[in-house]
Amino acid sequence: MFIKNIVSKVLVGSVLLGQAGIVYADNIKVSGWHQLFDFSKPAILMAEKKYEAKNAGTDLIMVDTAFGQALQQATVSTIAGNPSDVIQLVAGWVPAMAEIGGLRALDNLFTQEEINSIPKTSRDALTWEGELVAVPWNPGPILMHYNRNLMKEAGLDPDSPPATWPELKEAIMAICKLPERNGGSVYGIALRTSQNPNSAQWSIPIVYGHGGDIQVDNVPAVNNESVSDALNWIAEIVNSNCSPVGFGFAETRTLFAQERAGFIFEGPWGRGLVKNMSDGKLTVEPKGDVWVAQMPAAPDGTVKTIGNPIVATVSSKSKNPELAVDFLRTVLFDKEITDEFFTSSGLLPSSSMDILGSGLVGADAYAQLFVDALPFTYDTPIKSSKFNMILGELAIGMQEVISGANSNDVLTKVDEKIKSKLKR
Amino acid sequence: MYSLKQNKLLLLGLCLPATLIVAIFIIFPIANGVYMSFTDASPLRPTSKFVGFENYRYLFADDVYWQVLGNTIFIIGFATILAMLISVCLALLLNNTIRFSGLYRSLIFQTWVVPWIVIAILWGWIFNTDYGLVNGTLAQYGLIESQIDWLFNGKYAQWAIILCFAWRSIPFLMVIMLAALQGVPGEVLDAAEVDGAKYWQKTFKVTLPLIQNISLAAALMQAVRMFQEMTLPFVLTEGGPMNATMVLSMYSYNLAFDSWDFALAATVGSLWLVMLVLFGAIYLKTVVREM
Repeated sequence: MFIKNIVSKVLVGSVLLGQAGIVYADNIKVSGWHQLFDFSKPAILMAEKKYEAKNAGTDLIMVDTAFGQALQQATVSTIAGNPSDVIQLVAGWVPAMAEIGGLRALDNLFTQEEINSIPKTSRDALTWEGELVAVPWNPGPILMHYNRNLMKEAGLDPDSPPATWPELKEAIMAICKLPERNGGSVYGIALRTSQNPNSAQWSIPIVYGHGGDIQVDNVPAVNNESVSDALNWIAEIVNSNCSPVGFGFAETRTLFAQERAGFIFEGPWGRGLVKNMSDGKLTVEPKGDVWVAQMPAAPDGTVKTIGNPIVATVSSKSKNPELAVDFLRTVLFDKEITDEFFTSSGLLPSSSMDILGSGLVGADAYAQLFVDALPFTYDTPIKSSKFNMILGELAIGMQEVISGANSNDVLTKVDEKIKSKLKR
Repeated sequence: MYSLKQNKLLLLGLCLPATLIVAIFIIFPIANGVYMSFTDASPLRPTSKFVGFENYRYLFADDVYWQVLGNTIFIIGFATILAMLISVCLALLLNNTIRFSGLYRSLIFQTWVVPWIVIAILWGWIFNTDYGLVNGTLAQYGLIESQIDWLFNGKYAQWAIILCFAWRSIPFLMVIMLAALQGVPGEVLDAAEVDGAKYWQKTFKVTLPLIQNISLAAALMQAVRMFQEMTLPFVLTEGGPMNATMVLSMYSYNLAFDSWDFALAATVGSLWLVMLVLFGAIYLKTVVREM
């Protein structure tokens, strides 16, 4: 009797919910970390509303995923056959997700016009076996941020930031002679040298600056003269106490926000970080306390940097790829949403050059320096599914060189380790 | 008299839920892990194949594996010894009727309820080169002239991790030993006193031998717990510098999720399991005494 009662109540409830339109025809799951942060939440909520209004009967479900767990969660859920339809990643993780067959080609889901509005270097970086498998949501070229006050104090011209790597080194050495402040010494630059793949990733622009690369024809090649020169460049600066030792991204940012480092390499999120971490004491303006410049040029005059963009992908297992892509279309190409995103987060809100070159973003000098860098920004400097492993080995090598080991010997060993792990 | 043995169906029904839970959540994952260690399993491959002892051969030839194994034994061994020594002292102190001993017990136990991640961040600040308590104190007393990079020097970083592990383990070990101390029969201590034993003689000749087995079993449990823990090195040093603080748990995690080498990660796990089982068996056989 009791069971009969429950069954009948459930049946009646289902019918009523269906009548009221509460049972959705489709649902699209979006996993990522944007919705976890107050600064990006308003734009996400706006996108959710607009998307659901446009696609009546579709329920957008946001799956909160912490940044640190995003790749593991995406991989495990893909293997288990239950991934979200839209997955937020960073560019370096795309090859791994593509190689496990977790990503859907987007070429035919976006219009040609939409695809062409994305810079070619960004598209190339996110193309896997001839197919576009991700689109940059928040492009992230890494540029040189510098403290104008420290430059002035060190007798340097803050309106002419270093344009070559030797000039940068000179400026670093000059700033590092400044007296202590805020409870500690002043460093010329805050380089990342912790044992983390990210520290090695951040050393790649220095390799570019020494005229080389860390891959040849999409094959990792770390044992070369430019990488060796770059590691020695880093070691010399660290061992002169002009950059802290063993710091990761969090510590280097704190140092820069305390006006204890002259330079730091950061993406478009740098402005927000400096403002927040200095409690609003530092301004990020052309004539303010902190400003940004393109990376110094290599000996042949070329300028090249890495990007660390947040990208959006559609799962290969999505049952409604068109609906999933429509969410991407909403967040990437809707002017109201991208403006809201830019206002509240300060991040570049889209990879569409039309959006990036007009409206609020177009009028922002800071943002435009990053937009200008997009044509020479490499988002996947190593196109390998074992991106983190390769950079992890390089990070250990970097620490060994800092500790006094011979860079050529170290790189030979690192190269062997990488090759051995890539074979597996 | 009714015996459950007479009703085999009921006996089976009562045992089944627990057996199923153990089988699904403990035995299957272990067996699957051991099986994976004999394959080339990776999420980057659609299927995996049996490779025999290839992963074991690869691992034994890898100098990093031996370094990590050495680090793990060194860090956990010293952390356990240190935690045991301090816990015994604290338990003996709090077992006496000193004023506010209840308050002290509660305060010390607070450390146990603090999440590992918070402890890692806290100790990160303690050892911070510029603002850390350690450098600050040493500089204040003129013991150092320049700041020491505690977390970038291999040896110092290992000791920093040992201290953190020990600090986190003390409350648990202290509570166990305090309970053991309170279980020591008063008559035995009175008899020793009548025989003329002083406090230290009673402690070393009577009390500690009586709580030896409980303390050693607690130490084993705590050491096994530390073997599983990767938060401290992960947050404090990320396994560095140059793998000096890389422990087995973090190493297998990196193999699985940085190298996408599930098979090699499973091999590390299987060897680690065998090592712990052997160690536990030998430890219980040789160190824990028959009463």
